[in-house]
Amino acid sequence: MLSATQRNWALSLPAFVIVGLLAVVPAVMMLASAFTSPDIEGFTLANFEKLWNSKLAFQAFWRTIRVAIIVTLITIVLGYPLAIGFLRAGPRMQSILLPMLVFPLMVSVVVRAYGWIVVLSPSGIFNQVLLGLGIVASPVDLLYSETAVILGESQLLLPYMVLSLMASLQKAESNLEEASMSLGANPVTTFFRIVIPISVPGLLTGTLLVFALALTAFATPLLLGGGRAPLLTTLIYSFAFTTFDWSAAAAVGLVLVILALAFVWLQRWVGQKVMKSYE
Amino acid sequence: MSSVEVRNLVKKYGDFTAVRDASFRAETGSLISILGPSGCGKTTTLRAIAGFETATSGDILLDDKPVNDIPPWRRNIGIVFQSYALFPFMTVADNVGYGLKMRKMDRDQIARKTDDALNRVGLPDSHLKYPRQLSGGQRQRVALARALVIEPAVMLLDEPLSALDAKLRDEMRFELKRIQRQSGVTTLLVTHDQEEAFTLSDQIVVMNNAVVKQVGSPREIWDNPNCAFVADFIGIENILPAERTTNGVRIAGHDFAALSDAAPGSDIMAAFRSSDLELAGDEAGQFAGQVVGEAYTGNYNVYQVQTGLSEAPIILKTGKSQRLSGTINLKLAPDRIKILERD
Amino acid sequence: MSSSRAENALLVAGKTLSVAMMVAGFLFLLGPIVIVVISSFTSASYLTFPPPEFSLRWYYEVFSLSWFSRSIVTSFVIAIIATAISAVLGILVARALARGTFRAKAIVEFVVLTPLLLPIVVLGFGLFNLLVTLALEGHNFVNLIGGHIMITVPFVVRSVWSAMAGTDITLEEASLGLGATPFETFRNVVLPMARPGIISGGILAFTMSFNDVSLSIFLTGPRASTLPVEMMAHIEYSADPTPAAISTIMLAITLIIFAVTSRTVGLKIFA
Repeated sequence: MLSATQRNWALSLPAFVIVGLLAVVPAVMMLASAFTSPDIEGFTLANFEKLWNSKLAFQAFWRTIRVAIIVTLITIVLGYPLAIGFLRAGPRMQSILLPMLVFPLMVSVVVRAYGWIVVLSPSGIFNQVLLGLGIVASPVDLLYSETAVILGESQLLLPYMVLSLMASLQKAESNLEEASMSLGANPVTTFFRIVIPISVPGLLTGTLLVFALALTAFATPLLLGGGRAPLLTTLIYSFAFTTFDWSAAAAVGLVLVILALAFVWLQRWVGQKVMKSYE
Repeated sequence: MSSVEVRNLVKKYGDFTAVRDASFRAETGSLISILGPSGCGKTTTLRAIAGFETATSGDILLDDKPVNDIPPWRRNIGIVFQSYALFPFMTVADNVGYGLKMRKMDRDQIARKTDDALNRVGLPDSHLKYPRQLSGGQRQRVALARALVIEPAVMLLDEPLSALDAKLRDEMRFELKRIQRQSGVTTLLVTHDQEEAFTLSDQIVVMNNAVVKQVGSPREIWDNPNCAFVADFIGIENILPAERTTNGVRIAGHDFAALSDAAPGSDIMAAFRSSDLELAGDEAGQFAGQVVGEAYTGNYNVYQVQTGLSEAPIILKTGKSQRLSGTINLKLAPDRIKILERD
Repeated sequence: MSSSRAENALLVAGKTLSVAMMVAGFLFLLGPIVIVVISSFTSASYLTFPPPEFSLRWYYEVFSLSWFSRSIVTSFVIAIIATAISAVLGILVARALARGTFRAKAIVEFVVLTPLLLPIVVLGFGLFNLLVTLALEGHNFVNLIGGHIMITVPFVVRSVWSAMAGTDITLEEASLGLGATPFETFRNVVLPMARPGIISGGILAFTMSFNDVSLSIFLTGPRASTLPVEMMAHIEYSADPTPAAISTIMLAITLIIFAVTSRTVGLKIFA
């Protein structure tokens, strides 16, 4: 007979070993290799020095942050009408809208990014409309730019924001808006004074989630930004397979991991501190 | 303060009729209850008065003026929701002051009125607390203060006591009455609890299946329920099919004297409370029964008596010293038999 | 009543704006996908919208591409194997985490859920580095399966764990009390109760594996490659509508998984 501890270890061991060997060990080794260089013996910060002096890496770092912030803002602005519209809709309408909201989450990021390639290409619908309305004289080249990356990632992450906002709005008591109106506030005032404040917990979780996912998105920026608008994630890839500078790739990886973990920590902290006051 | 009147209100959701031709009136300063089981249309009626539901047809009148086209935020109606609906991110004082802020009052005035309202509901020093820090009874008081402070034309209470435990409910019932009397605001209360309705109201509107069954003072409804549903709902145990005779009623072949205006020969329902049954001597009895079950409580004894009047046994209560068994004779005073229309 | 008129104007404007933004939101979310589907049925040899004429020529074209049929089969096989193994591993750990209070629980939890904390690109590049060091990078098929198990296990663990944590422990005790062995209890009581969690975890794992690019791109090679990675490589070189046709096929597959999901465990698993 196994003791409880032995049994729990026996149950955990297969997954523990596989994930440990395939995720934790390689990631730690790779991140550690950021402090080595083929030309130098032992520990070195040469790779970080190189990144610091590289205009490309510097731009990629700030672009990553900038894109994540703008994407988060876009998902907030588009997320509120969707979340509120959804909750206001009748049950029949909701059963149509929910799949429309959730389905994109299951669709391959490659397919979704390709959608934007089709829309934004010089002969795509976007340029056709602009040309047709006479806004521009010749097609605008939006593809492979920061704008394309922002559009693609916003579309990718919008459902997460909507679902977070919906969760907190649904959790709030249903009569709050009616109470506000009975006290003399019209629907617009009620929206700003009651609906927005009760959605704050969802806004926070949604913001953190979308920001973290925007920081680490890979396929979308690779397809829509290409080499012209590299982010930290795509920079790792191009260091690894275009310039074959693996130490530099590892150094970029470390920067990205620090950013990502800082966010995980922030998420937990917000979860513990801020959410409490909304119960 | 205003009178409230609901006139021929109909509310339909597609094929479903939530309220069918409801009419009643509450005079200025009075307290009126809508009493009925869940799903009877009472809450829909309240929401129509508040303006959250638009009437399919019929009118809502405040001070005899139709308000159907006035949106909720301009009706000046105070509501206490069943769940209280306090804004969780605002302090007690901000909750109470919200309606005044919407009325663009200046800060000093808001502070003064808020203080005053919180004093009136007996919560003088909770201004800076958040709703989650309050007990159920305190939340209820804040919700009342928030509804009263705007000096509403009418105050609507949706099952205001149902979220409280039994002891607190008794206490709050008196509080509610006191606060309503002091402020003099016309109040409409929605409840499924007949005791609540009877102790608080000047007038009661009994609803069932989207229809107003009876409107009257608590006394009138208690003494003269007009149909089997109301009789059953206010707790009359024995409701039996009967036929009207020239000077009384006939229940399952037994003749009883009774007071009624109904035409002789018509089918009616006869109802009487178990507490109105009297034991009779052998010669004075009107009908006989067989004791088939008994239970002794501390204060009185309860018997199940099988009679010829109905299939199910009738309930009879006696003093604790009085023990019954075997065949007994029973009688009913003429004024204790209530004549009801068949539903 | 001019103030009332101003208020009405504000309300109408507010309502119109919110409805317009909601429509815009859904267009933004679904528009590009719909446009891809429509564009795929074009007769033209380049992408245009709307298509000049309806045609299935690009679907014939797609099915004649050897890389397409090879990689779609690979993707399916890998997703099925990875999901099955992840499910078994995930159920076992979830059981230990849900009921056990062993000292190393925090370590197990941390390690098993690590792939959720780190960017997948970092996991992919890290694994690739290790494989190169061990000179194993050529075994693309096995590497892809291993990698996909690693990134999908946490999803199974999370959903099965929460399903198990929500169940009543007295049911297990009742089963043991009635004479069932611990194994019988696990099979007849614990597993059926965790079923919704297992199904959601499995669906998430399959979707994730089938759609993954960030990890797979480091592990694919001449011996095995997945559909999304291959498609990504070909989008760059082909200006013709083949990617649109492939996208539509992938959307159809996703739609099937989606329908199964909403029938079995509901769409809440994504929320």
